[in-house]
Amino acid sequence: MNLRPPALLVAALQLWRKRRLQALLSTLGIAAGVAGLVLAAALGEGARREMEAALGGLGAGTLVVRHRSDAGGEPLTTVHQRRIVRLLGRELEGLAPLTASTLPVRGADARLDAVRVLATDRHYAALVPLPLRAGRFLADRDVAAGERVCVLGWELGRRLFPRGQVVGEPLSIAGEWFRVVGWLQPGALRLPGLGTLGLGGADQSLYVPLGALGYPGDGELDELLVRLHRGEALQPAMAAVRRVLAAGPGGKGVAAELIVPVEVLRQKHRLQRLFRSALLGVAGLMLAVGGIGIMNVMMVSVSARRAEIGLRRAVGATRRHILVQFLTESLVIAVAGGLAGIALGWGLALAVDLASPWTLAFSPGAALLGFAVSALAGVLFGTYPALRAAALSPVAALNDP
Amino acid sequence: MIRALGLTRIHRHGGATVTALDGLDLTVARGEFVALMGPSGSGKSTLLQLLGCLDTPSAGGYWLDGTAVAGLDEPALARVRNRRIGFVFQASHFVDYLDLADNVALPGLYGPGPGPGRRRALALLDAVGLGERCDHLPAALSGGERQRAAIARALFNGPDLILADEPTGNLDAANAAQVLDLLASLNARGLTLVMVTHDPGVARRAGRVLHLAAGRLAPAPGAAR
Repeated sequence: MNLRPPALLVAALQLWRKRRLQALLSTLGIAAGVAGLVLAAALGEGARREMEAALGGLGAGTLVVRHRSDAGGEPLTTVHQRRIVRLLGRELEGLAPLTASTLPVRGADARLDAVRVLATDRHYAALVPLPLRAGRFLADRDVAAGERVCVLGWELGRRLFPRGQVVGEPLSIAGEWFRVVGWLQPGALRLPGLGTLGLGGADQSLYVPLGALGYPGDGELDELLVRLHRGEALQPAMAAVRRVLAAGPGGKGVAAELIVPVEVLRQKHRLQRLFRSALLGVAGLMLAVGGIGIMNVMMVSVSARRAEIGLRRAVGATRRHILVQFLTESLVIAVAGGLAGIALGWGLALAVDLASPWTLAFSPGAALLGFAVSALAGVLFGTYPALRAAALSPVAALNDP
Repeated sequence: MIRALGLTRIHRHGGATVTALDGLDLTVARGEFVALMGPSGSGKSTLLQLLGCLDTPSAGGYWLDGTAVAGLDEPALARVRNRRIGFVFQASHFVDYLDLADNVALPGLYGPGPGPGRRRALALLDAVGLGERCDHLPAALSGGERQRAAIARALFNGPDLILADEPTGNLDAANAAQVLDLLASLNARGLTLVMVTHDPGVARRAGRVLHLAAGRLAPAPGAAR
């Protein structure tokens, strides 16, 4: 085949010159379809990444025991913590206690009125991914000796110490002096709202040794972060935890919520999946509409250019040359729509990501899929008109007015 | 150059059949200038289309320079049209969105490999006196200019047979003479020329005049020869 690409493109662009509106409408159909496809793919990819982050960072066997202070039960205490550790035995990979308070904090040049202060121990850093930018996390001796040290989230460190020197600096929490021993990397623990204290928001958090601020009561805790070796052990472990909580020393039992982060995410993604299916349906419909539009505009183009086809055949074009010429034409319309659709879908994904609690992620695979689908539509819906053009006999095409 | 034996072409329109050519025998030697004459419907154009490999005969054989055309498949026929034959149509068809030079270079698009393209087209347009109109669209040209451009296009791939279907049919006397001179000069350079015409004055320029009637060769009406 000697038909060279520039010549093919010159021929293919005729449709834009002669039947701009029809071509544009078909292109819009394809663009809308591809945009829907890209958006659906971004939804899926976002959900997948969210899940992966949760699973990769926390593991499938992560369980959060969140004390409900408003329910009027007994407090959750270190006594419960010890019982749970004993009961779970070898299944337990790790367990971290947490208490949370919102306190005013003063740094070198800045003062913040309400900072989330989490009191915990070294196990916390082993259970959730907390990469350090500088310094270290809390250690056993900090808790045992009641050291006045703390670890800062990225954002907090930046705001309290704008000059950049964070680790080693003094800082006041509710009037008590602490020394900064660690500073976290940006973006640590950026999990979407799971309804827990210990999971999420590391950028804005300040970590101190358990007990350094004094317990609210005698060894009272707000949350226990539990990690099992195996996800399958979750159900029996939850039952065991419930037993421990119910059999408190006071007889009333501890009111607590058991949160499984992976389950929370799965629930959240259920609505997303539904939305995605609907989106895919609409996208398919738009693609079909655009494709039929392309077919129509191509049929018109072929019959309007019979003389051109006859002439090209007379000077040596084979049926295949004609086929390729008209297929290129429909491909150009469809792929133009596809590229516009990829851009549109990407923009929409970005907007939805920003404006909704859902996480969307644009992947190169989605762009590739959009491109492939539009090209496929161009070939699929362009084949019949192109075959019609190629089937014209040169004599019949030439003799036509 | 051309040898046709029992060439027959039957057109079917729904149920009716029309015999456009009826067992015609024809031989044209290399370098000849043959004019085909005859009333409308006598089969002149059909014969030209068969000779030009645009159409295939219903029966009979056709040998172009010793090659049996009947045995060729569609791509091979296209190659013959592309390399061996140059067409000049009465209606002088052009691709309306390509400029004159690209139109003249059109056969090169389907030719063997990337050729000289526009450069050769410009040289050919110069030769027919249209050099400075090379970037005009076909619609901007007069009838005579269009026919001269069509001749330039027919020459693009260096064919040895030129088929012309009433090339002067739509032209005034001055333009017709110009186009005819051009065709005659090609014949003088050794190209074989077969031309359909209604005009006895035009036919007189040919070396040999064939008359068709009802799909067969017929003796000249009256005392033309």
